[in-house]
Amino acid sequence: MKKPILLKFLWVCLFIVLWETVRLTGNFSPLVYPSLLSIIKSLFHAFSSEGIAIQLLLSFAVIAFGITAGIILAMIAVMAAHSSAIFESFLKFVISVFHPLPGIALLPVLLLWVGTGIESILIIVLHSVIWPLITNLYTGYRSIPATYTLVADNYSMGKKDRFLKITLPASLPYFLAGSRIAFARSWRALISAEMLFGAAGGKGGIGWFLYNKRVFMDSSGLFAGLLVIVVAGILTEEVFFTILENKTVKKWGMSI
Amino acid sequence: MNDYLEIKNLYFSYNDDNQGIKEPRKVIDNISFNIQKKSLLCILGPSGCGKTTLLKIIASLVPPSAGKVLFDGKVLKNPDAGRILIFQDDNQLFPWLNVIENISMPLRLSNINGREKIALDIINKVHLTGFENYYPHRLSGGMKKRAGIARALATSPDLLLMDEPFGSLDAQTRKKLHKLVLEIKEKTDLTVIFVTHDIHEAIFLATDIAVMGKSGTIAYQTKNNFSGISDFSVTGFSDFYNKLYSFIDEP
Ligand SMILES: Nc1ncnc2c1ncn2[C@@H]1O[C@H](COP(=O)(O)OP(=O)(O)OP(=O)(O)O)[C@@H](O)[C@H]1O
Ligand SMILES: [Mg+2]
Repeated sequence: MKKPILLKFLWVCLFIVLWETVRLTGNFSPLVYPSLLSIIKSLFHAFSSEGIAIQLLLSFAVIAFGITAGIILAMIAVMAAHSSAIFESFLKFVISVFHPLPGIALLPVLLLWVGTGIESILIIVLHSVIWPLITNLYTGYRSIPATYTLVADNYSMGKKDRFLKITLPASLPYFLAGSRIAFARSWRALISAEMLFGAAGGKGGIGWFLYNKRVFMDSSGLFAGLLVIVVAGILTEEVFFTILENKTVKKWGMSI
Repeated sequence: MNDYLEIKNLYFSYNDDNQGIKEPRKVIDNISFNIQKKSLLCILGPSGCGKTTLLKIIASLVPPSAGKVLFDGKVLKNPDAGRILIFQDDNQLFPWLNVIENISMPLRLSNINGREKIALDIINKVHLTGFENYYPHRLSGGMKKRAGIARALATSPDLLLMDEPFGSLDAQTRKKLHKLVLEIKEKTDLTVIFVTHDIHEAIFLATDIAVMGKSGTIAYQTKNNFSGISDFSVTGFSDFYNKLYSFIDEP
C-alpha cells in the first residue's frame, strides 16, 4: 500500500462494518449495544448541547498545566542532580519508589489528605508526568556529547546561550520521548481520576462526561465519549508529537 | 623573525580515579616548541601519547599543570575565537543547525554584522555552495569536514588546530581536502597545527613536523623539505619517511 492514510481509513471502515454486522446478527438490546447511527447522533448532541468540547479542553488544560509544571520541576531536579552527587542519589531513590506507582493508586490517599477538588487531580497528573520527564531529561542531559561543550568553550559561549542553543536542542530527542510518555501516562490517569470525582466547578472533564453517561444508562452517549477520547489520544500521540518530531529531531537526524 | 606561537615547558597530568584516590598521571611531559606565522606544523605520534590533550591546552580549553602558551608574545589563558580547534569526531557540527546556520553560529555569538554574506563566502571557499540548507546528517563525511573547516574559518582565526581531521575519510576525499587546506593557507595568514597518524599526510602538508613520543615529550622536530611531495622516488624522501617512522614506532 502506497498511502498509509488510505490503509488506516480502510481499517476504520472494516471496524464500522464489523460493529454493524455484529449488531445486526446478534440480538442485543440497543441499551447495551447501540447502533452506529445513534452513536453518531449522540456525538453531535454531545458537541452541540452538552459541551463535550469544553470538557475535553478542560482535561487538556489540566494536562498542559501538569506537563508544563512537570517540565520546570524536572529541569530543576536535573540541574540539582547534576551539581550534587548526594541529591542525585536521593533523586534516584525517589524515582525508583514513585515511578512504578500508577497515578490512580494515589487517589485514596489524596482523597484523605487533599479532598476531591481539582488539586487532587493536578497532583495525580503531576505525579504521572514528573518521573518519566526527570528520567528522560537526565538521560538526555548526560548524553550530550562532550564535543558540543568544548565547541561552546572554544567560542566562549555564555551560560544562557549554552542552555538555549546547546543543552535544549541537544537533549530534545529525550525531551520529546519523555513528553510522549508523560502525556500517555497523564491522559490515562486523568480520565480515571475524573471518572471518580470530576474536577471542581461541575465541569468534570471528559472522564466525568463518561461517568455521567454510565450513570444515566446513555450507552450511545457512552460510546460517543469513548470515541472522543480515542480520537483526542490519537490526535495528540500520533499527530501532534509526530509532527513535532518530524519538524525537529527527525529533520536533524537525531531520533533515538 | 618572531616566533608566533611559543609553547614553553608545558606539563599536564590527568587525575586518575583509583578507587576514590586521585592519582595524577603525566600526559604531557615538558614540551616546548615554537612555530612561525603561516607555518603548518604536523604533529605525529603513537595513539594515546597526548596529541589531543596538547591541542586542547593550546586552545586554552584545558589549563596546563605547568608551563605557558604564548601567542605573539602574550600569555594565553582563556579560549577565544582566534584559536579554533577542529575536533576529531563529527560532533563538532551541531545537528540541529543547517550548514549556513552552523557557520554563522560563531559570527552571531560575536555579534558580527553581514553574517549571511560572510558565511556564503566561506561556503564558497570550501566548495559547499548549494548545500547551505542541508542539515549535517545529510552531508557526506568529506562534506562534514568541509563544513567544520568553514565554521572554524568564519571568525578569521589566526591559529587553526586540527585533530586528525581527515582520519575517517577515503583516500580520494582526503586528497581533495588536502588541496583545500593548502588553498586556504595560500589565501590567508592562517597558522595551522595538524595532528595526524599518517606520515604521508604530514609530509605532504607540513612546513614543520614534530613527533611526540609515548612518554608525552617531543621526540623529534624538523623542518619539512618535502612539502607537496608524496613520491618515494624523490631523492631523500624515503629516508625522511623512515626516520619519522622510527620515532613514532620507538620501542
Ligand atoms: N578526560 C581524560 N581523563 C583522563 N585521562 C585522559 C582523558 N583524556 C585523555 N586521557 C588520557 O591521556 C592520554 C593522552 O590522551 P590523548 O587523547 O591526548 O592522546 P592522543 O595522542 O590524542 O591519542 P589518539 O591518537 O588515540 O587520539 C591517554 O593515555 C588517555 O588515556
Ligand atoms: Mg587524539
